[in-house]
Amino acid sequence: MKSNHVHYLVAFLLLVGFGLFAYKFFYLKFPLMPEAEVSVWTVEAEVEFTAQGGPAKFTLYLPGAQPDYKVMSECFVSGKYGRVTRGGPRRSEWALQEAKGKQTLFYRVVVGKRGAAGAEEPQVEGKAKKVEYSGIYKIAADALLEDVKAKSADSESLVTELLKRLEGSARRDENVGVFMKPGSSVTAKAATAVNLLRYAGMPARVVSGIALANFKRDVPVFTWIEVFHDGKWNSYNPLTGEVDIANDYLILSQSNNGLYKLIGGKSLVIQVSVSKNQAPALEAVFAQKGASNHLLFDFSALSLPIRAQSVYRLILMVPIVVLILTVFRNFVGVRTYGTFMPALIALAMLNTGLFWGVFLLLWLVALGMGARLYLAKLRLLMVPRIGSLLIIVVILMFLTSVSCNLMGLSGGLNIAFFPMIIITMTIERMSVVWEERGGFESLLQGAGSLVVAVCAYPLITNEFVENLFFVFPELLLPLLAGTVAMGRYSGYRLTELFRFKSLLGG
Amino acid sequence: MSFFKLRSSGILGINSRNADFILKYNPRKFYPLVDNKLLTKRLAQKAGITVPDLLHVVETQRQAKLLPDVLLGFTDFVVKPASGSGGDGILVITEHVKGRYRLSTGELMDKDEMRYHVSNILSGMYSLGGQPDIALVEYRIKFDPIFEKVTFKGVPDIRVIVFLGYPVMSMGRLPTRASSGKANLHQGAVGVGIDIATGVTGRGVLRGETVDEHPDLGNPLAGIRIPEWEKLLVLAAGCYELTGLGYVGVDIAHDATLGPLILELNARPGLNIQLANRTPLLPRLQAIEDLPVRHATAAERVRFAMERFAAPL
Repeated sequence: MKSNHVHYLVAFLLLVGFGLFAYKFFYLKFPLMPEAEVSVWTVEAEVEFTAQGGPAKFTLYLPGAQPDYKVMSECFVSGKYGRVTRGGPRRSEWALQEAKGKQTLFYRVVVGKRGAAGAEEPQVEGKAKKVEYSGIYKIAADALLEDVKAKSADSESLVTELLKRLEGSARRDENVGVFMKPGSSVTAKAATAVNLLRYAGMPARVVSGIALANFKRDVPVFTWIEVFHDGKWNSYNPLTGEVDIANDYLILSQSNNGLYKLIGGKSLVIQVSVSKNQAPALEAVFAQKGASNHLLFDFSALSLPIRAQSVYRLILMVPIVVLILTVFRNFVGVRTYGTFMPALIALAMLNTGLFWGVFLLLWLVALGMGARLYLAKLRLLMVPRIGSLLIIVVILMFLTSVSCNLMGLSGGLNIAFFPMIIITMTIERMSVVWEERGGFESLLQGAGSLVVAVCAYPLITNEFVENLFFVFPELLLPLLAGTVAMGRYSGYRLTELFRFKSLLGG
Repeated sequence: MSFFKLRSSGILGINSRNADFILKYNPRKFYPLVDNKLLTKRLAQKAGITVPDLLHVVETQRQAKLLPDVLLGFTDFVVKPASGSGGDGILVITEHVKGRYRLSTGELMDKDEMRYHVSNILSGMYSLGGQPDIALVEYRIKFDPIFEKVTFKGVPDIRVIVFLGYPVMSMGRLPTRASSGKANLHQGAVGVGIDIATGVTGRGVLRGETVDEHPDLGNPLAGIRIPEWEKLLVLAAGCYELTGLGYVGVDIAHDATLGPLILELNARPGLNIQLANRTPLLPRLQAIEDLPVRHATAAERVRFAMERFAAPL
C-alpha cells in the first residue's frame, strides 16, 4: 500500500505538471523558446528617500517618444502620494502635504524596440527654443563660441570642440568659468553645453538613460547630450565629446535636470533594474488580463518585480541540479562530499564559467588543505579550528581576486561566488577522510563532487532550459515526481556492476 | 546486460538494502541504541550479553586534559568515540612507554597527542553529523590466537549480519598493513567468509578481489575454525531483542579468557560480506521474510540458520 501511495503521488505530480505545461503552451501560447519575436524590456525604478517632515514633492522624468523604442505600458505605485503626469518634458509628479521618514515610490515601464519600418521621423519642435543671454554671459558666450567655431569644420566637430573646452578648461578659461564652477556634475556640464548650443542656434537637449541588458539590477543611469544636425538627433558624451552612445540605450529623461527632482527630502536613492522578456508572453498577459485566465497569469514568474525575477531565474535551476545529483548518487553510485555541495558548486560556476570554476575550486581546496594541515599541528579544538579555516578561506578568496585583478585575469574575480562555508566544511571533511581513510578515498569523493557539478553545468547554463523553467515553473512538479520516484528505487547502482563483478563472473 | 545478471544472482545492492531492509526493519527511534556505544554497552550488560568492560568516560574538555593521569591506572586499553562509525577515531593502546603510549600498530603517541585526539572526539569530529560526542576508554580485548596467523598488527573481529534475529551471513575481518590495524574492509582489511553452519573460514576478499592468502603474512585464509561458534551466533542473534533493529551488523571479538564479546552494533552494515562469502544475501533474507512463523528464542533461530544456510561444498 505504501509503495502504491508513492506511485499515485508520482502520477499526480506528473499529470498536474505536464497538464499545466500543455495548457499554457498549446492554449495560452506561452513561448517555449527564449528570444521569441520582438524584444521587450521592463524597466523599473524604485525610489527611496527620507522626507523631512513637511510637504514633499518628487518629480521623475519619464521616457517619451524616441527613435529606437516605444513605450508600451506604464505603472506607478504611489502609496499616500497624489500623482499627476505632466507633459513637456514628460514627467510624473508625486506630492504629499505632510511626509516624514522613509518614503518609497515605484515606477515600471515596458518598452519595445521599434521595427526598422516603424521608426518615427525625428522632430525638432519645442526643444529648439532659442536661449538668450545678456550682459557678461552674452560676452562670454560669444567669445567662447567664436573660438570654437574657428577650430571646427562642421556641426559635429563644433559640438565636440565645445564639450572639450567645457570639460578640460573650466579652471583656466574665464569664458567657461562664467557658466560653470570647476568640478561641476556631468548633468551641469551637459546643461551648460546645451544652453550654449541653443544660443548658437542649434537644437540640443540633455538626456539621461540606461543601457538595456538582458537582466540587470542596479543599472547605472548615464547622462549625455543630443544635438540636432544633419537631419537627425546625434548623441555626444559630455565628458569626452565623442559620439559614443550606442543605440541600445533607452532614454529615460529629456530634461536639463537629469532624471528627477526632489523637494522636501534627502538621502535619495534610485535603483533602476532592467529585464528582457518575450513579447508574445507579455502581449498575452496584457491582452488577456481581466479575462477568464486571470489566475494563471498572476501566478506566472513574469508578474514578479524584476529584482525578484532574476533571483528566481537562479533558484529555479537548483531543482535541476538536485535531480542530476540524485541520479548520480543513487543510480550511478558516485560518492560526493555532502549531499548538496555539488549543487552549490554548479551554481557558483554559473558566475565563474566552467574552466575558471574548476580551476578556482581546485586552487581553493588545495590551498585550504595545506592550511588545514598546518592547523592540525596546532591542535586547536574543533569549532575554533573550523572557524580559523573559514577565515583563511576568506583571505585566500580575497587574495586570489586581488592578484587576478592585478594580472588582468578577470575570471579570478568571481571566486567570491563560491559558498565559503561549504568550501570550508569540504576542506575539513576531506582532511578528516584523508587522515582516516587515506588520500585515495579523499580525492575520490572530491572528484565525485566535481564530476556531478561539471555534468550539471551545461544543463543549467542552457538558455533554453533556463527559459523553459522560468516560463513554465510547473515543470518543477515532474522534477519532484522524479526525485520521489527515485526515492523508491531499490535496484542496483551502476558502480555495483563493478563492485560485485567477482561474484557474477564465478 | 549485467543489471539483469545482478538481479537474478540475488546480490543485495545498496539501494535495496536501504529501501527494502533498513528503512523497513530498522525504526529510526532505535538508532541511538546502536549509534551511541555507551548506550549499547549498558543495554547489553543489563541483558547479560558480554561486552568489553567500560573503564572510563570522558565527557568534557577538562576531563580530556586530565585524561593522561587517569590512563596511568590502566596498562592497556582502547579509546573510542561513543558515536563513531566505520572504526574511525579508535585508538588501541597496548602499553605505556616512558610517558608515551604504544599503539597496536607499534607507533608511539605522546600525552599531548592523546589529549588532542580525545578533544577532537568530544568536538564531534568522528560522530555522525558532527554532533558533540563523548569518548570511552574500555578494556582491550586479549585476542584469542585464532586469527593470529592472518592478522597484521591490529584488531580482528567477526561481523555477523542478523536479520529479524537470524544470523544470515558472517565474515572475519582481518587487519592488514594497509588498513593500519583497523578491521574495516574499505580501509584495506581482508574479509574472509565464514560458513554459518560450521564456523570455518573460506576464501577471502581484499579491495573487491578474491584472495587466498593474507597479503602481508602470506598465510592461507581458509580452514580456520572459530571456537564456540554456536555460542557466538546466539550472542549475535540476541541483539535483535536487545535493540529492536531488524537488520543489524554485529561485530564480535574473541577474548582469550572471556570468550566472544560484542564490540559494537551497526544499523547500516555494509555489503562486502557478500564478496567475502562469494554468496548473495537476498535469497537468505527472503528465506527469513517468507517464514510463516518465526522462532521465539535466539538459540532456536541459530539452529535454523545453521541448518538452512550451510555453505555448499
